[in-house]
Amino acid sequence: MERVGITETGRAIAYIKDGLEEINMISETHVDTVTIDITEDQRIYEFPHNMIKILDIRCKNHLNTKDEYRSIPRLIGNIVNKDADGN
Amino acid sequence: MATSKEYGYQIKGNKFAIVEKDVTSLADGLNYTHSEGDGLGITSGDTIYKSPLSSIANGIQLEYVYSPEYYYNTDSLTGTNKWSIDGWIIVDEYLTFVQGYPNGAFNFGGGVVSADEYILVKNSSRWNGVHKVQATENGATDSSVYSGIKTYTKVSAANYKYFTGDPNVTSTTIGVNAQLFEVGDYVWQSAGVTDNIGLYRVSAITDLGGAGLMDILTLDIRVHNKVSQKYSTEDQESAVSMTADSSGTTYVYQAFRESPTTHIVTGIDVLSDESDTIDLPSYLSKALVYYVKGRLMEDQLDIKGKEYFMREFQRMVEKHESSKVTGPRQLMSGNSAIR
Repeated sequence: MERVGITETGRAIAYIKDGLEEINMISETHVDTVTIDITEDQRIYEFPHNMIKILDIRCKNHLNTKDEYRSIPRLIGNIVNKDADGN
Repeated sequence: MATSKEYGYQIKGNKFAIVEKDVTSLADGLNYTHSEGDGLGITSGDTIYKSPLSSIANGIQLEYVYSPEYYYNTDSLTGTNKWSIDGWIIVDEYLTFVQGYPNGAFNFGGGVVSADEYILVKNSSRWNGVHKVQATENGATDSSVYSGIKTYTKVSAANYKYFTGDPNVTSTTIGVNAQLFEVGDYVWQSAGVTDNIGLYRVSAITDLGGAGLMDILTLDIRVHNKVSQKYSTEDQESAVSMTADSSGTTYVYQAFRESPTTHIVTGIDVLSDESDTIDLPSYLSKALVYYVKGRLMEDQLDIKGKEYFMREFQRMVEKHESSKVTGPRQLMSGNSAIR
């Protein structure tokens, strides 16, 4: 705070938080991994609460039989077969 | 041996959709159906994308970037500042974490964490990150309304299933308002007999009549910590055997079960004043100073100054990024490349 000449703590913290987010948008300095259970017939899943940017989505046994996690592609277009909840 | 699958994802607003290719081969080899009376239809197999065809534990792995707005000791010790959680419920529209113990709920109020402190949730499918504690309730008393850690994180309680009233508990059943819960739901029961406080799965429902009357939920699984390791970060399941209870009040919440490795870390230092530590390399700390200066310039409508500081900020972040790259680079061939 002394280096930027600001005395209002709340304002400084808000800007620091913005800056940390901006740094992580440009250059991934803090990376985490989380695993989520796949539930039969459930199509929609939530992103982690503290996520800023997604780096990769991998699925177990995607194009392999060795229980490996492999990156899955983003599908472009409309999937005609809808879920029970309309998604 | 596991079966090979083919998945894809789509972004749906602030959520994502996982779909799986149904490669069931049909006799006609077509990806559509046709009959005289029904016309064209969608086949049940033959490379059609649909919702996941089977449940897979830990089936999705998300790699993501987060903002280091907090600092904690990475050498977290189970039972000291690292605690298992079995799931979460919604109390007064606030996110509440719960943890079962073979006989009752874990005592989160017993020095684990206090009101207005912060907890860091890890390995959760939804709630990773820092949450501020609103209150904790000791699960070892039969007057506990929720028996867990109530946070300040708001959650929409639309369509949330919750019952409170006179207890109607037998060894394996709980009585609740009619038509509330469904088979397969997890429920968190609080208050009543202390030993009964815990997380259970509904295996069957006996409908005793219309709205306003009682349904009897039959429970088959109880989720809790390992008996021999009170602070274990892996939960386990056992058969349900509750103590019959028909006096006082009971609270039954719809619960969302987390994975066995979901846990919280206490002793989190959140950015709140000048004495706090920011978990950032020193070079990026200097970039952060430029960012804050840029924002202050923007507030003063000094756009020239803002542009200068933001450019310096960008330059330093990019320099830091490229400083980690060394050696020759080689392009890898993709998995669908021609050999």
